[in-house]
Amino acid sequence: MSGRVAVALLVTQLGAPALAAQRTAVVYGSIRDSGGQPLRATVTDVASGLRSFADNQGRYRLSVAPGVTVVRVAHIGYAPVFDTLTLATDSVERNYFLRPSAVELQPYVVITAAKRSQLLDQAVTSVAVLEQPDIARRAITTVDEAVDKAPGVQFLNGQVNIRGSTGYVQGLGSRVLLLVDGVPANQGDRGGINWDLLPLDRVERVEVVKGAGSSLYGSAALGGVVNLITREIPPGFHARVRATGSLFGNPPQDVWRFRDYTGAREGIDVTGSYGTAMFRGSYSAGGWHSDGYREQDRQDHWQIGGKGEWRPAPGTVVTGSGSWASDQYQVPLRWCVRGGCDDRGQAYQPFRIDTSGLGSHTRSDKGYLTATLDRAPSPRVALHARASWLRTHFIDFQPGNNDAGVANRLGAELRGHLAPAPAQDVTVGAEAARSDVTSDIFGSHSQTELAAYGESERGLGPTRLTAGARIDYLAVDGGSLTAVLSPRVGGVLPTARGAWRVSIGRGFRAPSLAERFVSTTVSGLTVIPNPSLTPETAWSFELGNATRWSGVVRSDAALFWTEAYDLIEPHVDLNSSEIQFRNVARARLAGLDLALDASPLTPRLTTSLAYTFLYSRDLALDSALAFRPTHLLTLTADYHWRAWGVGGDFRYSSRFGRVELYPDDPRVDAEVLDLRASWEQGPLAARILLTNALDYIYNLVPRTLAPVRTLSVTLTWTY
Amino acid sequence: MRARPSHLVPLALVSVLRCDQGLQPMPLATSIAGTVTFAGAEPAGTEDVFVVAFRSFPKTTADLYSFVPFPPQSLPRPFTGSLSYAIAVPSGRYEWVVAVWKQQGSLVEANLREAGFYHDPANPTQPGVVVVNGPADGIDFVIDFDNLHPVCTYIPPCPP
Repeated sequence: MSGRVAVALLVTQLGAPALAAQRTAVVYGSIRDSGGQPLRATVTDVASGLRSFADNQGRYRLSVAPGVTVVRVAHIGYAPVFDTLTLATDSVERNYFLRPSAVELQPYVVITAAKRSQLLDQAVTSVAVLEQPDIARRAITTVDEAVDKAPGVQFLNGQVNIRGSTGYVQGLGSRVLLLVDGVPANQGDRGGINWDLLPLDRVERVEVVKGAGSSLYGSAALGGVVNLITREIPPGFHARVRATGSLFGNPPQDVWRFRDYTGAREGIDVTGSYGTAMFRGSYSAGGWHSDGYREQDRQDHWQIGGKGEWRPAPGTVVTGSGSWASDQYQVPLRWCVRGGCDDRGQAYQPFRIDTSGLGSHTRSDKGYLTATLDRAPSPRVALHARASWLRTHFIDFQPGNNDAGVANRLGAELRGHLAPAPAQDVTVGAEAARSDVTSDIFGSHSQTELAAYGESERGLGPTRLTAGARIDYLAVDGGSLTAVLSPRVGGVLPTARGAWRVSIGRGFRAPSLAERFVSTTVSGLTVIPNPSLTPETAWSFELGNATRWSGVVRSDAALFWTEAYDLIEPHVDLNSSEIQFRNVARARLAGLDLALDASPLTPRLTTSLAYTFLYSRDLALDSALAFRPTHLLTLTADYHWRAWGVGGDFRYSSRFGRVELYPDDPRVDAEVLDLRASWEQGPLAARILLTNALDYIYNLVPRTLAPVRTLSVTLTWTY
Repeated sequence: MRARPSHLVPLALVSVLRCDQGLQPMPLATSIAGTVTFAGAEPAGTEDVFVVAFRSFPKTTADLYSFVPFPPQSLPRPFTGSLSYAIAVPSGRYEWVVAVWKQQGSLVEANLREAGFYHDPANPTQPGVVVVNGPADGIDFVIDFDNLHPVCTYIPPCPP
């Protein structure tokens, strides 16, 4: 008898009284393909939405309510199986065999677009979903890498753009809201996003909601929402160790060489969990070191995190989670141009930095704590309450000038979901948040946000109509309240030509405390505060269609149009040598977002195409918006055969029509090919990833070199 | 099932799509540039006026043709007023940046005159040294057609 089986039996026996007391039943067994290979498939209780994931040996265990239950067993590349079970308060073994099939296209369940569970095709706005198998298949190591290749999404040096929402404002303010399990996680001072807040290994799924989402989420959801959904804690004992090693390619030109060794990155993550029917807990710890791929680019990262669940009664879940990450990294300032370093007779040296910036480094600590209560007292009512605390701390060490800041964001939310009629859903809630900062460059300030929101969805025949609004009250340093109203209406109409969706909504972003109160000097220019900044707003319209073609092709196309007002941009006055953030820009972003998924030739081959055409215009300047590509294309192909897999991604981003700071610098489009291969057998998995395989040298952000060719090997052991 | 090569067609297409090499090294353009101001009337028989640079001051007639760029490019007509110029030269130290007037005929000593040169700002009686690591701008001087000096002024003897 293996230790694992003994633990399973022990867990079963310990859990038996509790199970009986709570009147739950357990379905367990294994899932394999027609050749007998285990599949890490998903088992879902269709009625409640509760899910379980099979382990690497194909074994699963799912707790469900007694009575008649329909479970759905699914895995990408295989036809799903629906099984109707009649269960008492006992356990039933069910073993499933899945047949290879075209890409399993429906139904995705998403939870971000409407702050509740709904089928993807019922969302009134575009939603891109990345599941854990996709993330694991790509052998990536960080959260931003996972989000980066989503359709319509582009990262500019850590700043996320959804359909060109943000551009590049050097981390000060983000027009995309980050959620971790539905909890806002943008920084309290700068409004930006720490993508290293959460280790990728804890992420089960990423949902990217495109377009204005302020009618439910308030500030920062001007261009979209990214929700990181952490892994569910399965019953029993589980552990996972993941080790990664990478080598950075040396500069492709000898004249760009800047060191006499090959840079490397090494990291390890350990996660463990234990769950019973009533209590579940998980932890994660890890870290990595990187030499970086350019001069002054060393980084060290450490993190710990955990999550606990208590299920005191059926339909009631109390969750506590948290994470803390610490980074010490050198700051590779803008690359060196003629005379700024040992330029070797070159106009610029993309791998080197200006000698005036040598020695710059940063320590950045960040963490969050969240407690939530979810209760479903009846099938028609669900309640959610949460409290959260996000804290960030940074020290920038610069030659002759250090900056530091501590920021907190405390939040609370109460939400109710009602289903008063079979074809009607109502979501209402209230939210409060307080952000504060203490910093030598931002001063000591606070901002309070109070909000109430409601949204109703109603079926009219086959059509589902949605209408809702949120009102936010903002106060800075205890001053007068500013009110912002964010309505949204939309509808979904299923037809023979797919599901049509349409929506129009208003988004906004409150100025960050940094934008209001920053006081510092940059390149000889004085940055002065502007306490009178007002929120920037936008109206977003979308018309979309999701269609399944011939069983092997699925398309999702959307026309979008955004009119933005009072965008906050840095205003440079060369006469007074001053920079100030002002509500200056009036902008228009419109275009087409297209995604195609197909499984041509054989179910073992999956391919996808994502294309975004973006027309962006700064209406105040009558010019293109800076840092927005007109064309963004991503092609993906993966082939699986038994335990082996190979695949690749190609990303093309057209040359920016306009950039700021150094408009005369040479710039090119981006053409990046990533290749991967994997092997998975039992508890072991090995993945090889070659990013930027063509070693294409480019930059998206002024004088900041994008990652070069990097070879990574990831080994994973799962128990 | 065996993998068929056709399954890899999408990746091959991707490779074909790549049509350039991204950013490339950009050597600094090493040059001497500035403004020349013409004085006096253009002499009759003028064919060319060009600006050249010598790494060291010529001491013999053999040194006379060690200038860069070679062959020299004439300044554009008309030879009046002021004119911006730039000559491409290798990086290095140049002791004499000089304008040469050439009368019609071949490029021989007898047809050449010194028409002006860059002076040392600290000692205007002496030629100015120019160090070139990239574009060396601001090398300004006067071309005086009323004071043309034959080669023998610098490399004697002059013919009787």
